[in-house]
Amino acid sequence: MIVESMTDLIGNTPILKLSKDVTGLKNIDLYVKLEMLNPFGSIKDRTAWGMLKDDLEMIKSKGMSIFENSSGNTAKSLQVIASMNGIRFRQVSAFSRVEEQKNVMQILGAEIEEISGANDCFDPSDNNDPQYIIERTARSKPGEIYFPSQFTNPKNPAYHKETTGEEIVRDLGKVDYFFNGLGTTGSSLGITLRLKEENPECETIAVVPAPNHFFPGVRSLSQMWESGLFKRDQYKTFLTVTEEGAMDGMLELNRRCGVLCGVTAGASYIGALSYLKEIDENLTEMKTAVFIACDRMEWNISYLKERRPEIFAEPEKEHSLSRYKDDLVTGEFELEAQDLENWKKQNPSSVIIDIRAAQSFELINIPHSVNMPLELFQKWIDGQNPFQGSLSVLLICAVGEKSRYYAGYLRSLGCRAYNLTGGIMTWKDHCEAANQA
Amino acid sequence: MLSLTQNVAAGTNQKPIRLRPRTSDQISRFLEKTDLVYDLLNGFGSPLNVIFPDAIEENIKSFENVYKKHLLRGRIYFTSKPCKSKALARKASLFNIGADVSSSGSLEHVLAAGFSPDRIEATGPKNVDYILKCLQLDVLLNADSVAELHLIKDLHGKLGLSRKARVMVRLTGFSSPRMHFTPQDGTFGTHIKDIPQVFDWLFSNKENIDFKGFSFHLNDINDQQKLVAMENSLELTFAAIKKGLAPKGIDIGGGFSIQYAESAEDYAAYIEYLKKSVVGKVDSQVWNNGGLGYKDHNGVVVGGPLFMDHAPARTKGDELDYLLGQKAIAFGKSTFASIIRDSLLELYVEPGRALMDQCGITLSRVAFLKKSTWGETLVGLEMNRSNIHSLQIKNLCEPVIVPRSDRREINRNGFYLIGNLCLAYDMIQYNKIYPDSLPQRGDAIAFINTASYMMDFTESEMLMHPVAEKVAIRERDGKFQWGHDKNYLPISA
Repeated sequence: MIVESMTDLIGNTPILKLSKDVTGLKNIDLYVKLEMLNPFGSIKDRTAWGMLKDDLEMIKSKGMSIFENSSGNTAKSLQVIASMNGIRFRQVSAFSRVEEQKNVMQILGAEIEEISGANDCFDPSDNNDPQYIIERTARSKPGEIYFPSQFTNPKNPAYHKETTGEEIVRDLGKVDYFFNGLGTTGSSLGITLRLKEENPECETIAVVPAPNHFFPGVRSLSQMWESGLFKRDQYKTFLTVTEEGAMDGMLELNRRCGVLCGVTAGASYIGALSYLKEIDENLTEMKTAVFIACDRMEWNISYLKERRPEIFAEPEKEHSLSRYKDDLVTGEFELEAQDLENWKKQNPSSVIIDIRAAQSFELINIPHSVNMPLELFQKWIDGQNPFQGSLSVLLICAVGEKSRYYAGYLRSLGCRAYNLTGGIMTWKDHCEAANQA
Repeated sequence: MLSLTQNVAAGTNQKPIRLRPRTSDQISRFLEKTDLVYDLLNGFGSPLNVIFPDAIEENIKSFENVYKKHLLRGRIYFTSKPCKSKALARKASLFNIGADVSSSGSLEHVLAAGFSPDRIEATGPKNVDYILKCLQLDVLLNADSVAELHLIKDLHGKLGLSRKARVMVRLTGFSSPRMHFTPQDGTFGTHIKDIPQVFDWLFSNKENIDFKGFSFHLNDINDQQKLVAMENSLELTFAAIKKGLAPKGIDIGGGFSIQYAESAEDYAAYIEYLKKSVVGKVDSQVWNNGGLGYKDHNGVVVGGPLFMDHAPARTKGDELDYLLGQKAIAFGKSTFASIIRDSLLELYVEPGRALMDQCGITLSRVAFLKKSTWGETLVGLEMNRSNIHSLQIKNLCEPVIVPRSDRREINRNGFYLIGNLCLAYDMIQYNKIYPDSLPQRGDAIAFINTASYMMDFTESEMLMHPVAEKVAIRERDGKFQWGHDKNYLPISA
């Protein structure tokens, strides 16, 4: 298949029918529209293209810059399209809470303006809303800034009606239930309008995060009212999903269905299952439900690392650190700061390792000690004693707590390890006292 | 625990939401003692501020535990700014914490409460009198500008003190190559770009000025910005050490949140309903069709809230724990906690609001009920907006009603609370509230959690109404004892 431009690949994504073994639904076929297969990785490729395509030549000819309020996928899609066309793009958003999205933007050479959150010492004159800031900047530079404004632009839902909704109808015909996370609500609205043309009884169920929970690109119910595209009447109901639920959903889609989608799709999936389960039991005829896998798994790695670190844990070794119980009696391998010189004499074959951060080590350190910051040190000693049998090892940390733990662990592996009691702090006090004396 | 999914359609329909205040068990027990509540209100008059000094212990622990967890040394500073109660300061002085003062008067206040000068830090804009007292008492001075540093040195010389003046330097203008902030102006601190000159000055005045470290204070609830400030402050601290100065620690100020609403779910639903009212989908929920910062822009809500987050994801010590556990990117892979600890630095925090959580309530008597011009139900209180700082601190939670009798009138359409100032309107709360029943004339109502910047921050004898008295409550063997705030003894003797 030969294409002229990457933008030619936007849309026409396939739909996967999920196995009943996975969904557990007897009378409802659950489909997932694989929007993460769009060329730049999300459903927002359509949003960006739908808003820009008619004006692209004009923007280029006038030498305008594109500014948009987006913290994630829309910014990414706009950035690629802008870069491909030699147009300057500036992302203005609240703080990016997904590291990978920001990294991708950086790789693409983005200009990013992140805006700090609301102030809790109120200043009514402070209007720090990205939307407002872009509008103000655009007004101050007439003809220079093109602001697609995904939260208010009617082209956003219109393009989804014309393409995303149309494709679903083309593939599935009549749809009874449609689930989607709400961001700008543009895609949900466009798709819903098209699905209802085909089946006026179609129910759209919106998925939103539970209070103080977060899914990238999805906004809370109360934030909906800040989207100019939000049409409350188009939704049958709203489901809140927790981060745990969304991650469970995502992992099931990733692992059991091979759908390498992100956590927002997981939220729609888990929302769909919980909503449909009850309906399914009382149905006498087959129904059709669909949800959107809006973006790729890769943008969600740091999200999972933060919330499900166990997924990324290394396999445990037999004598691994994580299994070590700190049960050695304190004292038998403790070394007081004033005994350090003696210890060195008695242990001619020895090494002093300081496990503090490199910058801290640089500020103050014990002569002839070696710095190996804790993260490296842990990896180095995990499951094995890297020291020769007769070598004595003295561990140093700030206050002698962490070093005591690791000295104990090394002892359990047969190493002649010692701990400097009270750490570098006590040693420093000792030196200062000695200097004064 | 929250179930994984929940159908919240009920929260999006046409019914207003109740926003109950988070109320400690102790305060709930107190408010159940109706006779006591009425005796106090009758005895001292309305409004009346009731202080619960015992509650401070748990708030201090919330921060202390974070120090323990991260093996950090330093000091938690009690701040007298949010509440003038003598009893609270007296109680706080018993713990191993410092006191952060912001005026000459508040310095005297904490000294009288039992804080020795070595535990006190002086912040805020300073005049000659304030600086002189600090220098004479050897109180740590947190200098807000270069001019202030010069004045401190000048006055130190004039006093002819043999000991050095202990100073910290408050910073502003934080920036990060990784993050662009839309600039916000502020009045606190010295810009970090001016610090190289400050270094030279501190170094050349080493004989008189003992530089203890950098500080900042950001009220901004955005943790990302705070992390950049922490990173910048640490970088400058390291630079100072390399210059031959000897900073002891860093002071990351306050701005730690507390939870005002009983339930985060209800709060989210309340705000959703409020926004819906702003775009006219339901009746207005704010006095005079206001939006509390939100505006209707062609059917879309724009603007930002002029009120606090009533149910933040992290509060008090949990917020500090979160910040300390983040990686200090300029320092490789270490967390802020390890960099601070490993560099033998101390950590200072000034949690003003967060130490006052559940430490005070404001009682008022209901004076009358009436209708507004537009037909809204108004409940008039024997207090005014200066007694609860309602122009600025918009706490949206409904107060607890302590009814005088069983006679109840069902509250169907919500009501507004107004005060006793003879003005076109004196709103105690700008948002409409929906307790089950309407309070009656003579009933007592209690605003919860007012020790945090509400009860006396702006109190005045406006229109010759009296300011509120304060009583302090102690609970011993299941019984409540009360006394005037100024007579409070922090231990039984």
